Amino acid sequence: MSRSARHNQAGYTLIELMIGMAVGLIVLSGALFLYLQIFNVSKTTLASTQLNRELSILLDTMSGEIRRHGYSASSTGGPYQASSSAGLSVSGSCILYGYDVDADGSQDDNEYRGFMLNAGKILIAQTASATCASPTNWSDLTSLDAVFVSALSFMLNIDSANTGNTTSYTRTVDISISASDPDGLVSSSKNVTVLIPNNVVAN
Amino acid sequence: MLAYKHQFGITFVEVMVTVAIIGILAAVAIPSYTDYIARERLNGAVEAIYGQAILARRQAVSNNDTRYVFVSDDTGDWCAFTSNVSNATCASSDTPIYAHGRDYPGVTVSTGVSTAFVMPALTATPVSVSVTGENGDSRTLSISANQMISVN
Repeated sequence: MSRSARHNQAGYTLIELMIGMAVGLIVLSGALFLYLQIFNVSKTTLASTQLNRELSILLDTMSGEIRRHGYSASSTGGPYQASSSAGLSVSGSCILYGYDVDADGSQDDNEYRGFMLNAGKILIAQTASATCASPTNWSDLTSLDAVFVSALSFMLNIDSANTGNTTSYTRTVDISISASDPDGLVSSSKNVTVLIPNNVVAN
Repeated sequence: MLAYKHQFGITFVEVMVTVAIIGILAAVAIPSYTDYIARERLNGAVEAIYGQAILARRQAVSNNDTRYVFVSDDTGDWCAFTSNVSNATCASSDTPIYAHGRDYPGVTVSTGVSTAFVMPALTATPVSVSVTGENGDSRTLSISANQMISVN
């Protein structure tokens, strides 16, 4: 009687089982793939957030400094108002500028300033002996273990307007920067245009 | 009565084998899960402290002034926060949102560290903070003399 009961059983065949397992495997591998994808994306998001924060602070630092170019506490206009470019020297990835940092009316040595790109790092000048030709006398503004700067460029635009026999030069500097995170996961570019409020006025 | 005899149930031994297999799988999975939790808490704590440091730097640059970031002890737990004064405490912090150890159980941080982001000099006092997770993993957040914040 137990024999007849066994004969009446309708279980799964091997084929059915194999198909079931295959389908299960496909679904599982799909889910695993999605999970890994999300995991990697969150890692990239984190790196890109840090990179963007870093870049925006760098741009703010540089634009804030460049914006102050030409400022002097001296009533006679100070040492920065000689020509239309007036102490502002821009060449590709290097800019030299100056302002009266300590507001004493004269240009001290540490008031000759500049930014340049060298080997993935942005350098800053705080002395008159720093030139765009070589990275000696410059110090690091960025570090390679925080951000790798692949490109930096400055462009100076000068607009002039005549009022009677006086010419007023309005200067803007376009800054653009491209950088990647230290692991090379993400890269980002930003650019900003800085208006220098200290116009040069010539007769 | 006859119907009962034809049933093929699951025997006690079969149930015990299944339970044993589930137990073995759980024994393998649970340590890796707790390790994952510890790692994520460590990452979270490092991110939170990094956030405070970069906030202080951002405020220093935006205001062209000096801003401080602290990692200090707050009743036995660590607390990271920013301020515009050099003698701030976690409770007197400028930022209503600060990083606190109670949100990251098991994460220990080397406290008693503070640095100033000085603008327009573009300098900072170099410091490093070590953050250690429950599973012994450790990360170091360093602030360099040129205000760069790095995590390794």
